[in-house]
Amino acid sequence: MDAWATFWGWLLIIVLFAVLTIAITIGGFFDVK
Amino acid sequence: MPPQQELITNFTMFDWGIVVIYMLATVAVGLYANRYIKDMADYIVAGRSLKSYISIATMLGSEIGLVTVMYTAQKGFNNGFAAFHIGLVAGITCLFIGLSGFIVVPLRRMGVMTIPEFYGNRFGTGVRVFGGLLLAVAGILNMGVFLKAAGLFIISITGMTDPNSINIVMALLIAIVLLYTILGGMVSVVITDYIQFVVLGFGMLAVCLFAVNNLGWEPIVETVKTIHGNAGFDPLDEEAGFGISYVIWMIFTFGLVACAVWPTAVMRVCAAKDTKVVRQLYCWSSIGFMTRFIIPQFLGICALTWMWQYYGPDSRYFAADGTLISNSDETLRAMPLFLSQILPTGLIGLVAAGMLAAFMSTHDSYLLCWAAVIVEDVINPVMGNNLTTRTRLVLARLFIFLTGIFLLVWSIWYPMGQDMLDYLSVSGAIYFTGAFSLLVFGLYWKGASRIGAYAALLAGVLAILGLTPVREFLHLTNDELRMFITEILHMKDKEIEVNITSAHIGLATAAISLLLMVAGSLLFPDKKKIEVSVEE
Repeated sequence: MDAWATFWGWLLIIVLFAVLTIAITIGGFFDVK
Repeated sequence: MPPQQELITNFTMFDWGIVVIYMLATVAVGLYANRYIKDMADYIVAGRSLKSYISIATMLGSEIGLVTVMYTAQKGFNNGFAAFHIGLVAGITCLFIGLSGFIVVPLRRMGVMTIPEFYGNRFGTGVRVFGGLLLAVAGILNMGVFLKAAGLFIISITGMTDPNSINIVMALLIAIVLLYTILGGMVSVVITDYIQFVVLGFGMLAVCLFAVNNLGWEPIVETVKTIHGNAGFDPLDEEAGFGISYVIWMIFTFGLVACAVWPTAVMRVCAAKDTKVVRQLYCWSSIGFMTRFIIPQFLGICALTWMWQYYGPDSRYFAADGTLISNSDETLRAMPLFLSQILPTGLIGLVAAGMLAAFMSTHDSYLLCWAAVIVEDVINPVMGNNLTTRTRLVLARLFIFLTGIFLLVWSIWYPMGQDMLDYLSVSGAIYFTGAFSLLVFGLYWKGASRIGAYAALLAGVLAILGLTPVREFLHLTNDELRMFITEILHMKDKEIEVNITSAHIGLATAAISLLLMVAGSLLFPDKKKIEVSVEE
């Protein structure tokens, strides 16, 4: 159970999207401009 | 059960103001951009070739809507971390499709715009009409619970407690959606999608940070251990968890079908510039498919932790022994109720506004999609393709209105009786089990015949047996089946275990559909070959 919890925890951290959101926000602003 | 203290939401009049201003501003920006860039259709087409950040925003944003967040959070609440396997297999399958080009590359080469059009090109007009009819029925049934999810989200996050408020909210929502859709929808999706993605992207990240900060990682893991045990972590746990059949069903539905067979995905394939762009699109989309499940599911798990800490056993969500209740409406409400408690005023209004705006555009595109299928793939071919553009437009608007009325009636009346994700996969299976057979064999096997196609499509109707109320109506629940089997086999002295889930029924339907496609094609081959046009 603990091994699974560690696996899902790391997967969640990797998924947490933040880099993409920031890149798209900045890049998208210049795209719109 | 001891009397329960009612939750007081953090949602204030200030947040209502944010919601109203946000919605009006989105419409205003859309209308302004429409006027400004109406001769820039080529820009939108260029955006499809993945050159800009905005096209990636559109792609990722279309995976994260209010309904998706609601039903995936419910899965996290009901099944713990083990539910993460859905996002994992969806992302991996999407990447596999991007790398291999399975289904999507030959489909793009054919140059068709919709799945029923593919049916028509490959198997003739009759299959197109029948397949289009099944697609519209399954799609509208599938959409039948969207309104309920949105209604439950609103009453939970805003703190409405009147039992009638859900029906009033749903009626208001469908009226706004119909008005929005019939008035033309948001044509200039480029700008509005960008704003939408930024608000929801940062909103989701902020909500996750607030949730972890509020609860702490260790208590979250401990709560899942307490409530779900090993089944809350191991997706292959057959005892109380998902099991191998469910995982395979998820690979099929939220992996293969969601990526390559569902109309919204096919639209993306058909609109792409060439097959190279299709592959790129799917490699990027794999991130979106993973995110759309894992982040909301984590919020569902956080909601479980918060509810357990707040209520404890023998309460609104838990039985005296700590097991979860099985009321689908209540478990759907858990995540927005949790958000109403931890998010500060202002942020809660912004998140609600972003979710609602996403709901509007999702509903808008689905209503247009199903109306187009009924008019273009069913009525027009039946009428010998003689309908004028004006008649087709009037018919499409009429069907949008009728679908809207149906959605409201269905949301109020239908007792779901199972997790919303399972309802969606089963109702969608009425269409996609047959569609998958026709696509795989139609694209990769020259011997696939018209009779085989009809048989495979018809088999999809069996999926309806996976809906809990249908099983209850037909007396096919697990308990009734167990009693029937013990009686037939005279085994009253022995204990027989019958545990047929919606995943088993879905997989069986898919297998029967594939078998009928092969058998029908071998027994009744086409006398005259239908020429398939392939554009490179």
